Amino acid sequence: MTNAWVIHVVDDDEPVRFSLSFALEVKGFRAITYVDADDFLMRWQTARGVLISDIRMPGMTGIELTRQLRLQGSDMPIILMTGHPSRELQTDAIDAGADLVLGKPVELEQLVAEIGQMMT
Amino acid sequence: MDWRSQFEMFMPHGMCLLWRPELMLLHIISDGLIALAYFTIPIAILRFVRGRNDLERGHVGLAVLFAAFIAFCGLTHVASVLVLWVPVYIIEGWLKAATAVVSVATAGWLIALVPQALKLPSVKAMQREIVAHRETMAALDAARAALAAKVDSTEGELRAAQYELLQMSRRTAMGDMATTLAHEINQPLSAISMYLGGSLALLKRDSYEGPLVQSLNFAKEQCLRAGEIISRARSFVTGDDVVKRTEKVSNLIEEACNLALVGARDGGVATIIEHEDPDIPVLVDRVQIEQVVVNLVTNAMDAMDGAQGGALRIKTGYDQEGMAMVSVSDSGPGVSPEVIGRLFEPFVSTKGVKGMGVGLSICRAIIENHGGKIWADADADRGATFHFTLPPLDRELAA
Repeated sequence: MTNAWVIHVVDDDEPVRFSLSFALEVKGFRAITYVDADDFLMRWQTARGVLISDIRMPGMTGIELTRQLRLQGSDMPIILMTGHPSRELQTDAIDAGADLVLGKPVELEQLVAEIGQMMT
Repeated sequence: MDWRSQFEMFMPHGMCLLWRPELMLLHIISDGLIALAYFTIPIAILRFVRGRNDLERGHVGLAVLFAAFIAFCGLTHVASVLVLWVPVYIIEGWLKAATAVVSVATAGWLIALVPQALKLPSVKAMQREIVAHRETMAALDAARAALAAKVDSTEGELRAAQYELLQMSRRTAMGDMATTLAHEINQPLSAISMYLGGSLALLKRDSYEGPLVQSLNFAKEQCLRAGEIISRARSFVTGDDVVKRTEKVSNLIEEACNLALVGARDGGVATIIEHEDPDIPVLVDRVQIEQVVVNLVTNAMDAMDGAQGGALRIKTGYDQEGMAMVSVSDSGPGVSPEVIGRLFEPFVSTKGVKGMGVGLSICRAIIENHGGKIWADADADRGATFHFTLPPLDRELAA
Protein backbone atom coordinates (compact mmCIF):
# COMPACT_ATOMS: atom_id res chain seq x y z
CA MET A 1 0.00 0.00 0.00
CA THR A 2 1.48 3.33 -1.00
CA ASN A 3 0.05 6.72 -0.26
CA ALA A 4 0.91 9.65 -2.51
CA TRP A 5 0.64 11.99 0.43
CA VAL A 6 3.76 12.94 2.36
CA ILE A 7 3.80 13.06 6.16
CA HIS A 8 6.12 15.79 7.42
CA VAL A 9 7.35 14.88 10.91
CA VAL A 10 8.85 17.74 12.95
CA ASP A 11 10.28 16.78 16.35
CA ASP A 12 13.55 17.69 18.08
CA ASP A 13 13.64 14.24 19.75
CA GLU A 14 15.39 11.78 17.43
CA PRO A 15 13.78 8.53 18.70
CA VAL A 16 10.34 10.13 18.32
CA ARG A 17 11.18 11.22 14.75
CA PHE A 18 12.58 7.85 13.75
CA SER A 19 9.80 5.83 15.37
CA LEU A 20 7.11 7.93 13.70
CA SER A 21 8.83 7.71 10.34
CA PHE A 22 9.29 3.92 10.73
CA ALA A 23 5.66 3.30 11.77
CA LEU A 24 4.16 5.59 9.12
CA GLU A 25 6.28 4.02 6.38
CA VAL A 26 5.17 0.55 7.46
CA LYS A 27 1.65 1.92 7.09
CA GLY A 28 2.48 2.93 3.52
CA PHE A 29 3.08 6.67 3.91
CA ARG A 30 6.12 8.56 2.77
CA ALA A 31 7.54 10.29 5.84
CA ILE A 32 10.05 13.15 5.83
CA THR A 33 11.59 14.16 9.15
CA TYR A 34 12.79 17.58 10.30
CA VAL A 35 14.80 18.40 13.46
CA ASP A 36 12.92 21.61 14.22
CA ALA A 37 10.53 24.23 12.82
CA ASP A 38 13.28 26.19 11.00
CA ASP A 39 14.51 23.00 9.35
CA PHE A 40 10.97 22.36 8.12
CA LEU A 41 10.45 25.90 6.84
CA MET A 42 13.75 25.68 4.92
CA ARG A 43 13.23 22.29 3.29
CA TRP A 44 9.47 22.07 3.01
CA GLN A 45 8.13 21.95 -0.53
CA THR A 46 4.55 22.69 -1.29
CA ALA A 47 3.45 19.20 -2.02
CA ARG A 48 0.32 17.47 -0.79
CA GLY A 49 0.84 16.26 2.71
CA VAL A 50 0.12 16.34 6.40
CA LEU A 51 2.29 18.05 9.02
CA ILE A 52 2.83 16.27 12.35
CA SER A 53 4.79 18.51 14.73
CA ASP A 54 5.80 18.47 18.36
CA ILE A 55 4.71 21.58 20.28
CA ARG A 56 7.55 22.03 22.76
CA MET A 57 10.75 22.42 20.76
CA PRO A 58 13.85 24.61 21.00
CA GLY A 59 13.42 27.78 18.89
CA MET A 60 10.05 28.06 17.20
CA THR A 61 7.29 26.01 18.88
CA GLY A 62 4.79 23.86 16.99
CA ILE A 63 2.08 26.45 17.66
CA GLU A 64 4.22 29.30 16.25
CA LEU A 65 5.04 27.17 13.20
CA THR A 66 1.31 26.51 12.64
CA ARG A 67 0.53 30.24 12.93
CA GLN A 68 3.26 31.08 10.39
CA LEU A 69 2.08 28.47 7.87
CA ARG A 70 -1.50 29.73 8.13
CA LEU A 71 -0.25 33.31 7.64
CA GLN A 72 1.54 32.13 4.49
CA GLY A 73 -1.83 30.83 3.28
CA SER A 74 -1.12 27.10 3.66
CA ASP A 75 -4.17 24.90 4.21
CA MET A 76 -2.11 21.75 4.85
CA PRO A 77 -3.66 19.57 7.61
CA ILE A 78 -1.66 20.05 10.83
CA ILE A 79 -1.54 17.63 13.76
CA LEU A 80 0.26 18.94 16.85
CA MET A 81 1.55 16.47 19.43
CA THR A 82 2.50 17.23 22.99
CA GLY A 83 3.78 15.37 26.01
CA HIS A 84 1.81 17.66 28.33
CA PRO A 85 -1.65 18.31 26.92
CA SER A 86 -3.83 20.85 28.70
CA ARG A 87 -7.00 22.74 27.84
CA GLU A 88 -5.01 25.96 27.50
CA LEU A 89 -2.50 24.45 25.09
CA GLN A 90 -5.31 22.83 23.10
CA THR A 91 -7.11 26.19 22.76
CA ASP A 92 -3.89 27.97 21.73
CA ALA A 93 -3.12 25.31 19.12
CA ILE A 94 -6.62 25.36 17.58
CA ASP A 95 -6.62 29.20 17.61
CA ALA A 96 -3.29 29.17 15.74
CA GLY A 97 -4.89 27.02 13.04
CA ALA A 98 -4.02 23.42 13.99
CA ASP A 99 -6.56 20.78 12.96
CA LEU A 100 -5.88 18.39 15.84
CA VAL A 101 -3.92 18.17 19.10
CA LEU A 102 -2.83 14.72 20.32
CA GLY A 103 -1.28 13.86 23.69
CA LYS A 104 1.82 11.66 23.60
CA PRO A 105 2.12 8.71 23.62
CA VAL A 106 -0.15 8.24 20.59
CA GLU A 107 -1.35 4.90 19.32
CA LEU A 108 -0.33 4.31 15.68
CA GLU A 109 -3.76 3.07 14.58
CA GLN A 110 -5.41 6.20 16.00
CA LEU A 111 -2.89 8.44 14.26
CA VAL A 112 -3.36 6.67 10.95
CA ALA A 113 -7.15 6.94 11.30
CA GLU A 114 -6.86 10.69 11.91
CA ILE A 115 -4.53 11.15 8.93
CA GLY A 116 -6.93 9.10 6.81
CA GLN A 117 -9.79 11.45 7.72
CA MET A 118 -7.73 14.48 6.81
CA MET A 119 -6.87 13.12 3.41
CA THR A 120 -10.48 12.69 2.39
CA MET B 1 7.22 107.13 128.04
CA ASP B 2 8.54 104.74 130.69
CA TRP B 3 6.57 101.52 130.39
CA ARG B 4 7.09 100.76 134.10
CA SER B 5 5.39 104.01 135.17
CA GLN B 6 2.18 102.96 133.42
CA PHE B 7 1.26 100.88 136.47
CA GLU B 8 1.21 104.09 138.55
CA MET B 9 -0.17 106.40 135.86
CA PHE B 10 -3.23 104.45 134.64
CA MET B 11 -6.13 102.66 136.18
CA PRO B 12 -7.04 99.12 135.24
CA HIS B 13 -9.79 98.90 132.59
CA GLY B 14 -11.98 97.03 135.13
CA MET B 15 -12.54 100.26 136.85
CA CYS B 16 -14.23 101.65 133.75
CA LEU B 17 -16.57 98.69 134.03
CA LEU B 18 -17.06 99.57 137.74
CA TRP B 19 -15.76 96.05 138.52
CA ARG B 20 -19.23 94.82 137.74
CA PRO B 21 -18.84 91.08 137.69
CA GLU B 22 -21.30 90.33 134.87
CA LEU B 23 -19.77 92.96 132.60
CA MET B 24 -16.26 91.79 133.51
CA LEU B 25 -17.25 88.20 132.77
CA LEU B 26 -18.81 89.17 129.44
CA HIS B 27 -15.56 90.85 128.32
CA ILE B 28 -13.31 88.13 129.74
CA ILE B 29 -15.24 85.26 128.11
CA SER B 30 -15.75 87.03 124.75
CA ASP B 31 -12.13 88.20 124.42
CA GLY B 32 -10.88 84.83 125.71
CA LEU B 33 -12.89 82.86 123.16
CA ILE B 34 -11.89 85.22 120.32
CA ALA B 35 -8.22 84.85 121.36
CA LEU B 36 -8.57 81.08 121.53
CA ALA B 37 -10.12 80.99 118.06
CA TYR B 38 -7.48 83.41 116.74
CA PHE B 39 -4.69 81.15 118.04
CA THR B 40 -6.31 78.01 116.65
CA ILE B 41 -6.77 79.37 113.14
CA PRO B 42 -2.99 80.01 112.56
CA ILE B 43 -2.21 76.51 113.83
CA ALA B 44 -4.69 75.10 111.30
CA ILE B 45 -3.23 77.29 108.52
CA LEU B 46 0.35 76.25 109.35
CA ARG B 47 -0.62 72.59 109.50
CA PHE B 48 -2.29 72.97 106.06
CA VAL B 49 0.82 74.64 104.63
CA ARG B 50 3.10 71.92 106.03
CA GLY B 51 0.80 69.18 104.78
CA ARG B 52 0.54 70.55 101.24
CA ASN B 53 3.98 70.38 99.68
CA ASP B 54 2.68 71.39 96.23
CA LEU B 55 2.05 75.04 97.16
CA GLU B 56 3.94 77.81 95.43
CA ARG B 57 6.50 79.68 97.48
CA GLY B 58 4.52 82.98 97.31
CA HIS B 59 1.36 81.27 98.51
CA VAL B 60 3.22 79.74 101.47
CA GLY B 61 4.50 83.24 102.42
CA LEU B 62 0.99 84.68 102.22
CA ALA B 63 -0.40 81.85 104.37
CA VAL B 64 2.31 82.39 107.02
CA LEU B 65 1.63 86.17 106.99
CA PHE B 66 -2.11 85.50 107.27
CA ALA B 67 -1.50 83.16 110.22
CA ALA B 68 0.69 85.83 111.90
CA PHE B 69 -1.99 88.47 111.33
CA ILE B 70 -4.65 86.34 113.03
CA ALA B 71 -2.30 85.37 115.86
CA PHE B 72 -1.55 89.06 116.47
CA CYS B 73 -5.28 89.79 116.53
CA GLY B 74 -5.57 87.02 119.14
CA LEU B 75 -2.81 88.67 121.20
CA THR B 76 -4.67 92.02 121.19
CA HIS B 77 -7.70 90.24 122.70
CA VAL B 78 -5.47 88.63 125.37
CA ALA B 79 -4.18 92.14 126.13
CA SER B 80 -7.78 93.40 126.40
CA VAL B 81 -8.45 90.79 129.11
CA LEU B 82 -5.16 91.62 130.86
CA VAL B 83 -5.81 95.37 131.02
CA LEU B 84 -9.02 94.72 132.93
CA TRP B 85 -6.76 94.26 135.99
CA VAL B 86 -3.27 95.39 134.87
CA PRO B 87 -3.09 98.77 133.13
CA VAL B 88 -0.44 97.83 130.51
CA TYR B 89 -1.95 100.20 127.93
CA ILE B 90 1.44 101.04 126.42
CA ILE B 91 2.24 97.38 125.75
CA GLU B 92 -1.32 96.90 124.43
CA GLY B 93 -0.89 99.91 122.18
CA TRP B 94 2.39 98.62 120.70
CA LEU B 95 0.83 95.22 120.31
CA LYS B 96 -2.00 96.82 118.32
CA ALA B 97 0.54 98.77 116.29
CA ALA B 98 2.37 95.55 115.42
CA THR B 99 -0.97 93.91 114.58
CA ALA B 100 -1.82 96.89 112.38
CA VAL B 101 1.46 96.53 110.46
CA VAL B 102 0.92 92.80 109.89
CA SER B 103 -2.78 93.36 109.00
CA VAL B 104 -2.03 96.10 106.48
CA ALA B 105 0.72 94.00 104.91
CA THR B 106 -1.64 91.01 104.69
CA ALA B 107 -4.45 93.16 103.26
CA GLY B 108 -2.10 94.70 100.69
CA TRP B 109 -0.81 91.30 99.61
CA LEU B 110 -4.35 89.91 99.38
CA ILE B 111 -5.59 92.84 97.27
CA ALA B 112 -2.65 92.41 94.94
CA LEU B 113 -3.57 88.73 94.62
CA VAL B 114 -7.24 89.33 93.68
CA PRO B 115 -6.76 89.49 89.86
CA GLN B 116 -4.70 86.28 90.01
CA ALA B 117 -7.29 84.66 92.29
CA LEU B 118 -10.07 85.62 89.89
CA LYS B 119 -8.34 83.67 87.16
CA LEU B 120 -8.31 80.48 89.25
CA PRO B 121 -10.93 78.02 88.01
CA SER B 122 -13.76 77.19 90.35
CA VAL B 123 -14.12 73.67 91.77
CA LYS B 124 -17.05 73.04 89.40
CA ALA B 125 -14.98 74.19 86.44
CA MET B 126 -12.16 71.95 87.63
CA GLN B 127 -14.54 69.02 87.93
CA ARG B 128 -15.86 69.68 84.43
CA GLU B 129 -12.28 69.84 83.23
CA ILE B 130 -11.45 66.57 84.95
CA VAL B 131 -14.48 64.86 83.40
CA ALA B 132 -13.53 66.20 79.97
CA HIS B 133 -9.94 65.08 80.53
CA ARG B 134 -11.08 61.61 81.54
CA GLU B 135 -13.28 61.39 78.45
CA THR B 136 -10.34 62.46 76.27
CA MET B 137 -8.13 59.84 77.91
CA ALA B 138 -10.78 57.16 77.38
CA ALA B 139 -11.14 58.18 73.73
CA LEU B 140 -7.36 58.08 73.37
CA ASP B 141 -7.20 54.62 74.94
CA ALA B 142 -9.94 53.41 72.59
CA ALA B 143 -8.12 54.91 69.60
CA ARG B 144 -4.88 53.28 70.73
CA ALA B 145 -6.62 49.91 71.11
CA ALA B 146 -8.25 50.31 67.68
CA LEU B 147 -4.88 51.16 66.17
CA ALA B 148 -3.25 48.16 67.83
CA ALA B 149 -6.06 45.92 66.55
CA LYS B 150 -5.64 47.38 63.06
CA VAL B 151 -1.88 46.82 63.17
CA ASP B 152 -2.53 43.23 64.32
CA SER B 153 -5.05 42.60 61.57
CA THR B 154 -2.80 44.21 58.94
CA GLU B 155 0.06 42.01 60.14
CA GLY B 156 -2.27 39.01 59.93
CA GLU B 157 -3.31 39.94 56.40
CA LEU B 158 0.32 40.42 55.44
CA ARG B 159 1.25 37.02 56.84
CA ALA B 160 -1.69 35.42 55.03
CA ALA B 161 -0.64 37.10 51.77
CA GLN B 162 2.97 35.95 52.24
CA TYR B 163 1.75 32.41 52.94
CA GLU B 164 -0.46 32.48 49.85
CA LEU B 165 2.46 33.79 47.76
CA LEU B 166 4.70 31.02 49.07
CA GLN B 167 2.03 28.42 48.32
CA MET B 168 1.57 29.84 44.82
CA SER B 169 5.28 29.76 44.09
CA ARG B 170 5.44 26.19 45.43
CA ARG B 171 2.48 25.20 43.28
CA THR B 172 4.05 26.89 40.26
CA ALA B 173 7.40 25.16 40.89
CA MET B 174 5.65 21.80 41.29
CA GLY B 175 3.56 22.48 38.18
CA ASP B 176 6.63 23.38 36.11
CA MET B 177 8.42 20.31 37.35
CA ALA B 178 5.45 18.06 36.58
CA THR B 179 5.09 19.54 33.08
CA THR B 180 8.80 19.07 32.31
CA LEU B 181 8.70 15.55 33.70
CA ALA B 182 5.56 14.70 31.68
CA HIS B 183 7.20 15.99 28.49
CA GLU B 184 10.49 14.17 29.10
CA ILE B 185 8.82 10.84 29.93
CA ASN B 186 6.16 11.03 27.24
CA GLN B 187 8.80 11.50 24.51
CA PRO B 188 10.34 7.99 24.92
CA LEU B 189 6.87 6.53 25.58
CA SER B 190 5.78 8.05 22.28
CA ALA B 191 8.72 6.46 20.49
CA ILE B 192 8.02 3.08 22.14
CA SER B 193 4.37 3.26 21.15
CA MET B 194 5.27 4.06 17.52
CA TYR B 195 7.89 1.28 17.29
CA LEU B 196 5.40 -1.21 18.76
CA GLY B 197 2.63 0.02 16.44
CA GLY B 198 4.98 -0.19 13.45
CA SER B 199 6.15 -3.68 14.45
CA LEU B 200 2.57 -4.89 14.80
CA ALA B 201 1.75 -3.39 11.39
CA LEU B 202 4.79 -5.19 9.93
CA LEU B 203 3.67 -8.52 11.40
CA LYS B 204 0.17 -7.94 10.08
CA ARG B 205 1.54 -7.11 6.64
CA ASP B 206 3.45 -10.40 6.69
CA SER B 207 0.33 -12.21 7.90
CA TYR B 208 2.06 -13.32 11.12
CA GLU B 209 -0.42 -14.33 13.79
CA GLY B 210 1.85 -15.92 16.43
CA PRO B 211 2.19 -15.08 20.12
CA LEU B 212 4.45 -12.11 19.32
CA VAL B 213 1.37 -10.13 18.25
CA GLN B 214 -0.18 -10.56 21.69
CA SER B 215 3.05 -9.69 23.52
CA LEU B 216 3.54 -6.57 21.44
CA ASN B 217 -0.10 -5.58 22.01
CA PHE B 218 0.37 -5.99 25.78
CA ALA B 219 3.55 -3.92 25.63
CA LYS B 220 1.68 -1.21 23.68
CA GLU B 221 -1.15 -1.16 26.24
CA GLN B 222 1.32 -0.80 29.11
CA CYS B 223 3.06 2.01 27.27
CA LEU B 224 -0.22 3.88 26.85
CA ARG B 225 -1.03 3.18 30.53
CA ALA B 226 2.27 4.73 31.59
CA GLY B 227 1.35 7.81 29.56
CA GLU B 228 -2.04 7.89 31.30
CA ILE B 229 -0.35 7.78 34.75
CA ILE B 230 2.01 10.60 33.84
CA SER B 231 -0.85 12.73 32.58
CA ARG B 232 -2.88 12.01 35.73
CA ALA B 233 0.06 12.86 38.01
CA ARG B 234 0.55 16.12 36.17
CA SER B 235 -3.07 17.12 36.47
CA PHE B 236 -2.90 16.34 40.24
CA VAL B 237 -0.34 19.06 40.57
CA THR B 238 -1.52 21.66 38.09
CA GLY B 239 -5.23 21.25 38.76
CA ASP B 240 -5.99 20.71 35.04
CA ASP B 241 -8.80 18.40 34.05
CA VAL B 242 -10.14 18.00 37.58
CA VAL B 243 -13.57 16.37 37.68
CA LYS B 244 -15.38 17.29 40.89
CA ARG B 245 -18.45 15.37 42.02
CA THR B 246 -20.36 15.03 45.28
CA GLU B 247 -18.85 12.20 47.29
CA LYS B 248 -19.17 10.93 50.88
CA VAL B 249 -15.96 11.14 52.88
CA SER B 250 -16.52 7.66 54.34
CA ASN B 251 -16.84 6.12 50.83
CA LEU B 252 -13.63 7.82 49.68
CA ILE B 253 -11.78 6.42 52.69
CA GLU B 254 -13.14 2.89 52.28
CA GLU B 255 -12.28 2.75 48.57
CA ALA B 256 -8.83 4.24 49.07
CA CYS B 257 -8.13 1.75 51.87
CA ASN B 258 -9.18 -1.13 49.64
CA LEU B 259 -6.54 0.05 47.15
CA ALA B 260 -3.81 0.88 49.66
CA LEU B 261 -4.20 -2.10 51.98
CA VAL B 262 -4.13 -4.85 49.34
CA GLY B 263 -1.98 -7.55 50.87
CA ALA B 264 -1.31 -5.49 53.98
CA ARG B 265 -4.18 -6.73 56.12
CA ASP B 266 -2.34 -9.92 57.05
CA GLY B 267 0.90 -8.16 57.93
CA GLY B 268 0.27 -7.87 61.66
CA VAL B 269 -0.97 -4.30 61.54
CA ALA B 270 -4.45 -3.64 62.92
CA THR B 271 -6.55 -1.24 60.87
CA ILE B 272 -9.21 0.80 62.68
CA ILE B 273 -11.52 3.06 60.68
CA GLU B 274 -13.91 5.31 62.62
CA HIS B 275 -16.50 7.56 60.99
CA GLU B 276 -17.89 10.19 63.36
CA ASP B 277 -20.55 10.79 60.68
CA PRO B 278 -20.73 8.39 57.70
CA ASP B 279 -22.59 10.90 55.49
CA ILE B 280 -20.32 13.95 55.24
CA PRO B 281 -20.74 15.23 51.64
CA VAL B 282 -17.82 16.92 49.84
CA LEU B 283 -17.35 18.19 46.28
CA VAL B 284 -14.11 16.58 45.11
CA ASP B 285 -12.23 14.80 42.35
CA ARG B 286 -12.62 11.26 43.71
CA VAL B 287 -9.46 9.90 42.08
CA GLN B 288 -7.35 12.74 43.45
CA ILE B 289 -8.62 12.56 47.03
CA GLU B 290 -8.31 8.77 47.02
CA GLN B 291 -4.75 9.28 45.78
CA VAL B 292 -4.08 11.45 48.88
CA VAL B 293 -5.55 8.84 51.23
CA VAL B 294 -3.64 6.02 49.49
CA ASN B 295 -0.46 8.06 49.88
CA LEU B 296 -1.03 8.74 53.60
CA VAL B 297 -1.99 5.13 54.30
CA THR B 298 1.01 3.78 52.36
CA ASN B 299 3.32 6.14 54.26
CA ALA B 300 1.79 4.99 57.57
CA MET B 301 2.28 1.33 56.65
CA ASP B 302 5.88 2.03 55.55
CA ALA B 303 6.52 3.82 58.87
CA MET B 304 5.37 0.73 60.82
CA ASP B 305 7.18 -1.56 58.39
CA GLY B 306 4.70 -4.39 59.03
CA ALA B 307 5.63 -4.50 62.72
CA GLN B 308 3.55 -6.91 64.81
CA GLY B 309 1.14 -5.05 67.06
CA GLY B 310 1.21 -1.93 64.90
CA ALA B 311 -2.00 0.05 64.51
CA LEU B 312 -3.26 2.14 61.61
CA ARG B 313 -6.12 4.39 62.72
CA ILE B 314 -8.22 6.44 60.30
CA LYS B 315 -10.79 8.87 61.67
CA THR B 316 -13.25 11.01 59.76
CA GLY B 317 -15.40 13.82 61.17
CA TYR B 318 -15.42 17.57 61.46
CA ASP B 319 -12.78 19.97 62.79
CA GLN B 320 -13.53 22.93 65.10
CA GLU B 321 -14.27 25.20 62.14
CA GLY B 322 -16.80 22.78 60.67
CA MET B 323 -14.52 21.52 57.88
CA ALA B 324 -14.64 17.82 57.01
CA MET B 325 -11.49 16.29 58.49
CA VAL B 326 -9.65 13.03 57.90
CA SER B 327 -6.87 11.89 60.26
CA VAL B 328 -4.50 9.01 59.53
CA SER B 329 -2.40 7.85 62.52
CA ASP B 330 0.27 5.21 62.74
CA SER B 331 2.20 3.63 65.62
CA GLY B 332 5.56 3.96 63.88
CA PRO B 333 8.59 5.85 65.18
CA GLY B 334 7.01 9.28 64.48
CA VAL B 335 8.60 12.24 62.74
CA SER B 336 11.24 14.52 64.26
CA PRO B 337 10.11 18.10 64.98
CA GLU B 338 12.79 19.48 62.59
CA VAL B 339 11.37 17.54 59.65
CA ILE B 340 7.66 17.78 60.49
CA GLY B 341 7.33 21.41 59.32
CA ARG B 342 9.01 20.66 55.96
CA LEU B 343 7.33 17.32 55.19
CA PHE B 344 5.06 18.84 52.56
CA GLU B 345 7.88 20.55 50.64
CA PRO B 346 9.01 18.80 47.45
CA PHE B 347 11.95 16.39 47.78
CA VAL B 348 11.81 16.10 51.59
CA SER B 349 11.70 12.40 52.49
CA THR B 350 12.17 10.36 55.64
CA LYS B 351 12.33 7.11 53.67
CA GLY B 352 15.99 7.40 52.64
CA VAL B 353 16.63 5.91 49.21
CA LYS B 354 13.07 4.51 49.09
CA GLY B 355 11.36 7.87 48.79
CA MET B 356 11.62 10.75 46.37
CA GLY B 357 9.76 13.07 48.70
CA VAL B 358 7.17 14.23 46.19
CA GLY B 359 4.15 12.24 47.47
CA LEU B 360 3.22 14.61 50.29
CA SER B 361 3.90 17.73 48.23
CA ILE B 362 1.50 16.39 45.58
CA CYS B 363 -0.99 15.60 48.38
CA ARG B 364 -0.72 19.17 49.55
CA ALA B 365 -1.24 20.53 46.04
CA ILE B 366 -4.36 18.36 45.65
CA ILE B 367 -5.84 19.29 49.06
CA GLU B 368 -5.14 23.00 48.58
CA ASN B 369 -6.65 22.90 45.08
CA HIS B 370 -9.77 21.58 46.82
CA GLY B 371 -9.77 24.45 49.34
CA GLY B 372 -8.53 22.38 52.30
CA LYS B 373 -5.42 22.11 54.44
CA ILE B 374 -3.03 19.26 55.20
CA TRP B 375 -0.64 19.00 58.16
CA ALA B 376 1.13 16.51 60.42
CA ASP B 377 1.41 16.04 64.19
CA ALA B 378 4.07 13.97 65.92
CA ASP B 379 2.21 12.02 68.59
CA ALA B 380 3.40 12.56 72.13
CA ASP B 381 3.86 8.85 72.82
CA ARG B 382 4.59 7.14 69.51
CA GLY B 383 3.78 7.48 65.84
CA ALA B 384 2.63 10.29 63.63
CA THR B 385 -0.80 11.64 62.64
CA PHE B 386 -1.57 13.29 59.30
CA HIS B 387 -4.72 15.36 58.98
CA PHE B 388 -6.40 16.96 56.01
CA THR B 389 -9.57 19.01 55.71
CA LEU B 390 -12.04 19.61 52.88
CA PRO B 391 -14.87 22.15 52.70
CA PRO B 392 -18.10 20.23 53.37
CA LEU B 393 -21.13 20.60 51.10
CA ASP B 394 -24.49 21.66 52.40
CA ARG B 395 -26.28 18.37 53.15
CA GLU B 396 -29.52 19.47 51.50
CA LEU B 397 -27.73 20.68 48.38
CA ALA B 398 -25.79 17.42 48.23
CA ALA B 399 -28.90 15.26 48.61
